[in-house]
Amino acid sequence: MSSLPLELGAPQTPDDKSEFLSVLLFDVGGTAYAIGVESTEGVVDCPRITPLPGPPDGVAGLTSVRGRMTVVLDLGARQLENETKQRLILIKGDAQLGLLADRVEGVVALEPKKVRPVSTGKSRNNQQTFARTATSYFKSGAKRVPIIDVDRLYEG
Amino acid sequence: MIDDKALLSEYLSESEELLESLLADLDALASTPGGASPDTNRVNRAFRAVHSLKGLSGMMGQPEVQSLAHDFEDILDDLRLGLFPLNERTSAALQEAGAGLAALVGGAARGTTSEEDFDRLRELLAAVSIKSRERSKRDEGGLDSLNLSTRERALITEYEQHRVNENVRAGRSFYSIIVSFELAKLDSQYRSLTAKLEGSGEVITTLPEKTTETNLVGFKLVFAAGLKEGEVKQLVEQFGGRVSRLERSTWRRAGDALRAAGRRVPGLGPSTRNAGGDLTAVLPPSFAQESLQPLSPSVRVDMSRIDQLSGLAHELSIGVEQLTSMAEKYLTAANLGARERSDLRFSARRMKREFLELEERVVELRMVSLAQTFTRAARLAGRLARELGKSVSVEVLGRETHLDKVIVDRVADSIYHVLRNAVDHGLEPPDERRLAGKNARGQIKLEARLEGIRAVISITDDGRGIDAADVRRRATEAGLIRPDEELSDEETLRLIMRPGLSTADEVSSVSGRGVGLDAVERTIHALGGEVRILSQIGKSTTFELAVPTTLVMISAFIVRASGWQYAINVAQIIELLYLSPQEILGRDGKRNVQWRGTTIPLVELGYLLGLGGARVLHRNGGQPAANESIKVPVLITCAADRNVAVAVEQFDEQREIVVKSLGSVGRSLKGVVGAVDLEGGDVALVLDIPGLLLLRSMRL
Repeated sequence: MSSLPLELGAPQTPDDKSEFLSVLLFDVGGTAYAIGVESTEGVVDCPRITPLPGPPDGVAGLTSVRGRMTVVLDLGARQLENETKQRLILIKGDAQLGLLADRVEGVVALEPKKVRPVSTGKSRNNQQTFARTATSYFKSGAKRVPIIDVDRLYEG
Repeated sequence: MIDDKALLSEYLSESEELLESLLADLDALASTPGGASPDTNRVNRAFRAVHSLKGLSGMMGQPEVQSLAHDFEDILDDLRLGLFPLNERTSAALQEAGAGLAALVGGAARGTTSEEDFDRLRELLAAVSIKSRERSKRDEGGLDSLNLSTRERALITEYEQHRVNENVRAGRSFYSIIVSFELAKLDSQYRSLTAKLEGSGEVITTLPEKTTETNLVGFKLVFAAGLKEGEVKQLVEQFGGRVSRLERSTWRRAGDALRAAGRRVPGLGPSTRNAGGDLTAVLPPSFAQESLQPLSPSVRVDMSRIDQLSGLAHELSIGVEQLTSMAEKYLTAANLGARERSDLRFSARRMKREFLELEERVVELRMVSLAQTFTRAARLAGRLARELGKSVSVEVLGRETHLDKVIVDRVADSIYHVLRNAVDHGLEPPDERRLAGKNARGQIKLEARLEGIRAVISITDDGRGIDAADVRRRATEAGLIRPDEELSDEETLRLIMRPGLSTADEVSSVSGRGVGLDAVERTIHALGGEVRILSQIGKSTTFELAVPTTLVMISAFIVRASGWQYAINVAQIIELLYLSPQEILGRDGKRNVQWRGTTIPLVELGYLLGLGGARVLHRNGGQPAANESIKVPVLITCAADRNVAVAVEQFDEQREIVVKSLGSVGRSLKGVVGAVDLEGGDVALVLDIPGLLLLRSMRL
C-alpha cells in the first residue's frame, strides 16, 4: 500500500494524538507530500473537474463533492497527465478546497522532532512547491516530504 | 400560553393573516343582498381560514382557541351546506364572532386572556350555532317585548336577540339610555359609561341616535339590569344620559313579577355591535383593547418580492465591485492629486462596503428560525412513538437558528424523515431497552448549530445504533461495493442512504429505512449541503444535515460553450438571437455585428473563458459558407454601458437555479459568481459576463 518507509513514524494510537503529528501521505506526479490529518475532511474519488476562467496558479478547476462546490488544487506541475489524478483530499474549512492526489498512501504519526521548519534559504534550492505550500517537512530516507500548510493554500 | 418569543411571534403573524382573511370574507358576506345566497368561494375561504387557525392553534398548544375555532368551523360548515340562511342577523353574528376570535388570539397566546373572555365567545358561538340549527324557527319573543322601531330592530343581531331572551328569562328590566358625546371624547366616554353599566347589568347593544348638535354623536344603549329606573338614572347621571324603560307594559309586569320571585341569573358580558355608520366598531372594552392593535409587529411580505429585492441588491453589489476595481485602475492613470486620489479611493471602498451590507441585509430578510419546524418535529416524534408503543422524550436545542425560508421549508421533510427513522428503527422497544440497561424511555436530541456559513441540524437517538459491519455485508450483497473495497466507518454508514439498501430486517409501514434516505440526501445536496452519519453500536445514531444558511436563487439561462454548460443570470441578458455566420463581420479578436442599428463587438464565450476561441465561428473550416444554414446562438449583454454580443455553442434552457458558493477562495475568482449542480454530477459555473469581459480586458 505504501511506497514510503512508514517505520519512521510510530504506530498511531489514540493516546499519541497530543505528542505525535498525524499526517496523510500522498503522491502527486511522483512527488510525496504530507498534510496534517486534522486539516482534512476525507478523501474521495475526484469527480469530473470543470475548468474555471482565469484560474490562479495551482487551481485545476471546480467540482461538486457531496453537493458542496470544491475548488480543486493541483500541487503538481500543470498541464500534466490529468487523467491519472483520481483522488481528492478534502480540506476542512470555509475555503471549500480539495487537493488532487495520484495516490493516497495512508496516515503516519510523526514524532515532533522529525518535523522541521522550511527555512527560506533552503527552499530556494528545493522544488517550487516547497516554499509555496509548505512551512515544514520531514525526512523519509533521503527524501524530504513537505508538509502542506493549509493557510498557504488559502493564499492561493 | 406560548413562552418562546420567536414561536409566539410566528404564531401571531400566521394567525393574524388567517384572521384578517376571515374577517374580510365575513365582512363581504355581510353585504350579501337579502335573500341572495352567499358567495360560495368566500364561505369556503372563511371556512378554510378558521380550519387552518384551528390546526395552527392545536399545534401551538392553544386548546381554547382551537376549540373555539372548531365551534366556528361547525357554524361555517352549516352555512356552507346551506343549513341556515345568510341574512343581516346571521352575518352580523358571524362578524361579531370573527371579531371576538381575533381579539382573543393574541391574549390567549400571551396567557392574558381570562376564562370569562373565552366563555363569552363560546357563548356567542353557541348562540349563533343554535340559531343556525333552528334556522326558520327563530324566537323573536324577547325582542317583541321591547319598544324599538323597525329600523332599530333590524340592527339587532341574532346574538343580541339571544341576549335579550336570556335577560327576559332572567327577569331583568330593559332600559334605553340615550347619550351624546363629543366626537373627540367619544371613545373614552363610551368606555367609561359601558364599564359603569357592566358593573350592574348588561349592555345588549348600542344603536345610533339622532342629535341636533352637529359636534355630538348620539346613541342609544339597550341596557338590561335588575335595577329600578331611578338606580339606572343615578348610574348614568354624570354622562347626561336620558333613561327610559324599554319594555311594553305587558312584558314589564311579567318581568317585575319574575324579579319579585327572586329569580336571578348571573349576567353575561356585553356584546359587540357596529351601530350603523355613526360609530366605528364599538367593541366592549376587553375586546377593543386587543383587537384594535395589530397582533404582531411584523409585516408579511411575499417571498417573490424579497427575491426581486435580493436579486437587485446582488446585481448592484456586483456592479459596484466592477466600478471600484475600475476606479482603482484609472486612479493611477488619471492625473490626480494625492488628496483626490485618496478621496476617490475612500468613497469607492465605502460604497462597496455599503452595497455588500445592503445585500446581506436583504438576504437576512429571508431568514426564519427553525423553531416552528422543530416544534412540529418534536410533536411528531412523540405521536409516532406512542403509535409504536414506545416512549420518547425529545430535547430541542438551537431552535433560534435562522436559515433562509426556502431552506427551512425544504429541509423540514428531511428532518421529519430522519426523525421517523430514529423513532421507528433507532429506538428499541421499551423491554429491549430495559434489558440493555437503558432507560425505557428513549432520548432524541434535535439540535441546530452554526458551523461557519452552514447550519448543522443533528438528530441523535440513544437507540441501538447502526452496525457498520452489517451495512457492509448488505452493501456487498446488493452489489453496491466490492468485497475488498476500503471504506471508513463513516463511508460505510453513508451507504445506507443508497437506494435499495435496508438495514432493518422488517421494513415497517412507518419508515422503511433505506427507502427515502436517498431522497433526504438528494434534497440536502440540491441545497448545497451534505448528510453525515455517526453511530455507536448499542448507544446512539446521529444524522447531521449540514445546509447553507442562505440561498441565492436566480433565474438563469443555460448555455454551452467549449463543451461545458454555463448558467447566466437572465437579468444580464438583453436579448437572445440566432445569427447566420455572414452577419458576423471582421476577423478573430475584432468581430462585430449589427444590432438595433448600431455596430457592437462580438466575442465568443469559449474565448472569454480561456477555453480556446472562435470554435463556434470556425465550424466550417474558417470561412463561413454563404449557403450554410447553421445559425450561431448569440446573447446580447451589457458591460460598462456598452452592448456586447456573446456567441455560444448552444442555448439550452431557462430555469430557476440555486447558486452555490465557491467558498472563500472561489469568491475571489473573477467572472464567476457561483456554481450549480447539473443532473449528471457535473457543475455549471454561474457566469458574470461583464466580469468576464473585464477579466479578458476587452476593449469595448
